[in-house]
Amino acid sequence: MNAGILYVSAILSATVFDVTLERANEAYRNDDYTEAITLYEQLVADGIVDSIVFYNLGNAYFRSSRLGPAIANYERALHLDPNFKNADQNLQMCVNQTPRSAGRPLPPDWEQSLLFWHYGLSIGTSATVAAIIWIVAWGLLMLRLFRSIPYVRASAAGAFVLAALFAASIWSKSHPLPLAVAEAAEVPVYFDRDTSGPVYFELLEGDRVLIEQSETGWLKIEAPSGELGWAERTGFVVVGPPYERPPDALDPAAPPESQSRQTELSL
Amino acid sequence: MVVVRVMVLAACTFAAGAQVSVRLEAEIEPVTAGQPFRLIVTTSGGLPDAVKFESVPNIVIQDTPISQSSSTSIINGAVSHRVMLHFRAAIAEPSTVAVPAATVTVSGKPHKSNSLTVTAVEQVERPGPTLGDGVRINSLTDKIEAYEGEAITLTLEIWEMEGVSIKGITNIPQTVGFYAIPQEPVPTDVVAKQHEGLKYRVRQSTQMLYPTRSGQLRIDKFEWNGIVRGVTEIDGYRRRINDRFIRASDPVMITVKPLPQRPEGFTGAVGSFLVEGQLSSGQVDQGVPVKLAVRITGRGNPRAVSAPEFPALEWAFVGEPVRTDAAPDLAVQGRVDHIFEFAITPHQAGNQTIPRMHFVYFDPERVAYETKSIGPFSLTVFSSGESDRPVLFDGAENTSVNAIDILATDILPIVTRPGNLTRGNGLPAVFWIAAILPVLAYAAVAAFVYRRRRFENDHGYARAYHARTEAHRELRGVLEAGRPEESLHRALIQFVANTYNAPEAGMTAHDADALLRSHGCEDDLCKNVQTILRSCERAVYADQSLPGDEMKALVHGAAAVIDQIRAAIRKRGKS
Repeated sequence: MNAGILYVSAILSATVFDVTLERANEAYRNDDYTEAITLYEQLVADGIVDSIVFYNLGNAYFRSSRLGPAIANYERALHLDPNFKNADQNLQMCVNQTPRSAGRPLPPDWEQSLLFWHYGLSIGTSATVAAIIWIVAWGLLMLRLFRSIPYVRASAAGAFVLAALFAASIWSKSHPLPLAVAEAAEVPVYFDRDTSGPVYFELLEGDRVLIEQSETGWLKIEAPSGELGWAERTGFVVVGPPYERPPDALDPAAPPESQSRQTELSL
Repeated sequence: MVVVRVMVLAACTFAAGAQVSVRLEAEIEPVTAGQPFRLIVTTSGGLPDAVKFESVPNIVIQDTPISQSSSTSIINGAVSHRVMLHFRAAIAEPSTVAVPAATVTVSGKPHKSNSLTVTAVEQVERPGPTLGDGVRINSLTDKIEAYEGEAITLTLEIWEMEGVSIKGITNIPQTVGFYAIPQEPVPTDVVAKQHEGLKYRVRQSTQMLYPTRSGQLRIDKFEWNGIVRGVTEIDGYRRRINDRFIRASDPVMITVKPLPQRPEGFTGAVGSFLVEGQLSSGQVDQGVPVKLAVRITGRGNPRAVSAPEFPALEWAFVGEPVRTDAAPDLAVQGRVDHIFEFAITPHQAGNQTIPRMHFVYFDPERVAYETKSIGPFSLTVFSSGESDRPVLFDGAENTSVNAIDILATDILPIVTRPGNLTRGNGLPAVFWIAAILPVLAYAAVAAFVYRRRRFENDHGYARAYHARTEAHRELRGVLEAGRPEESLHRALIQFVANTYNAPEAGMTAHDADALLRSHGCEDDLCKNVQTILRSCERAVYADQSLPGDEMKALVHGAAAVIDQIRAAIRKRGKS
């Protein structure tokens, strides 16, 4: 009985999500990007993790001239589906529109050298291959219990090594680089968590950085050039997971904080 | 060999044309009164012909060098050759002696060195050094009072006494409130020093610290934890000795003063700097970018030096500056050499001017803000034949125009598809099942194969394993057998023999009792078994049949005792 209720509620919620997605797509087609963003973000807030939803959300942000959230959502889509060509192309176009057109921070050296082959694979592919190799490895060991066949043990060892590599790939994909994308036009980075201190350097809209540490209201970030500093969290969209909504996602027309500050100063 | 000679000759030839410099220094500081030490005269830029010292009271310096060494280094393509002459010297009494500049003749021309002050201390009469004297550590800064952002050099020293070897780990001091370059101190020098008459080899590591806030900041203690190894003489035999020691320096307190009221244009640079500017070309076509390079050199925090503010130009678009660090290796010494390149794309023809640019920094030595200016620069922009409308866009330009430009770019459209949206993106349950199932299956199959092989190979195990089942099967047929007493006797004997893997043939009640007792069976059980077996034996030997009720009781008793023996064996096995 309970299982039946769960099944029916799952079917119903799936239908609700599909309806929301269709409404969001319709709003996008009608150039109502604010409504589209609200609906896509609603899906994300409801726990939908889907490369197409993130891709469409990135498009909606791009059309709203909000490059930071657009880049963040294209990054999310590409993390879920590395072979998503449309997301890759739109991400490049989006990055080219940013003032600095800076590249994505690179993974650690060990990952680049050990897992150079896995960047084109999705986590599902890696998991499937790992599971198959894992089963084969244990199957070979089982075979060896019944009769001694030449090279079976070596083959099993090789299969275990391969399975371990794919397991490392799954782990790496489950723990992606903690990226953040600068959303404001200029994001000052300080030496310490003190806005009255000297500015170390400035990030520009669309710059992607690594998050080294996160504290209330502050992020310790590492720029692609390797420089470390503290910046206010409000200036960034965190790529995730978890997939956070940009602070002013419901009001995309609102200018980023640093622009508002500049206006006040000039007045 | 020939190549080496040619290189040295080339180095000397090159050096001959370079500026000659002479440096005078003492080998060790302080020196011990009455003990000889070395004065070192280092000449670079030429080969010294002769060295002359002025005569000074209280110090004796030999005229002829006792040794000579040389070194050649090539840095950034520049070759430098140095010659070091070592002179023996001695100071008779504890005092501070000013050694005047030495005169060094190079290629017939006299050159003066620096003067030097040497302190001689009294020779300390102290008991022989112990292993504990083998290591010392020190943490010091070049200043204890600084302005926010001002460079402070932290030097960490590990002193290793002559004649011992040390091996240990260090705890770098915590420097909360400072921005540090590099992240950890780097080894910079090894010098000789004395302490209480003992000679040490001192390894120095340095780090540049820049206070990020005003107030009292603390550089925590520097710790060393390791082993000192040495040699001592016991009863005329040299023995190796070692011991573990922990050393910690005192923390250093730094008073950080806030910067005075910040002027307009100040970007946070603190130190002393020089600024130069150069335009890549004075003439350019409309729409073609020209580069303005601004070079900032000096001393300060390299990460705090940003590009000077570029003045607004109505006739051109100016891109974000691209920074090049010309001397990244010098950052560890607090040196700055940055080049900022601005791409300027003129969209109006004519004789244009880039106004003066100002770089504002705080000079802690002068306790004042300084402004270094470059420009103005003149630029002739030739018309390209097009109108004056913008030909290139930049992020800093009018945002509305920029936004329209962005929207005009054709991104790929959204993707729609039949819905199958579901929550979550974790690995599916089937993956975890696929991960666990083969392990479980292997464990089950391995257990099965192991058991089967044991049954095949371990006869005793197989007998014991099946003993109870077979005994109960035998007991079920006892009452219907032609000679129930004999059947019961056989069933019980068979059980005991199988359980302990003993020969069954000829086993009597006495033998079964002895076997059970030898395996630690409880007395009650042994007696029960013996009672049942003896009853059966008596009936068999007397060729009589036991009454039906008695026979049933014996069978039930046998079944019970079999179960009890098995339970006792299991219990013993578990314990």
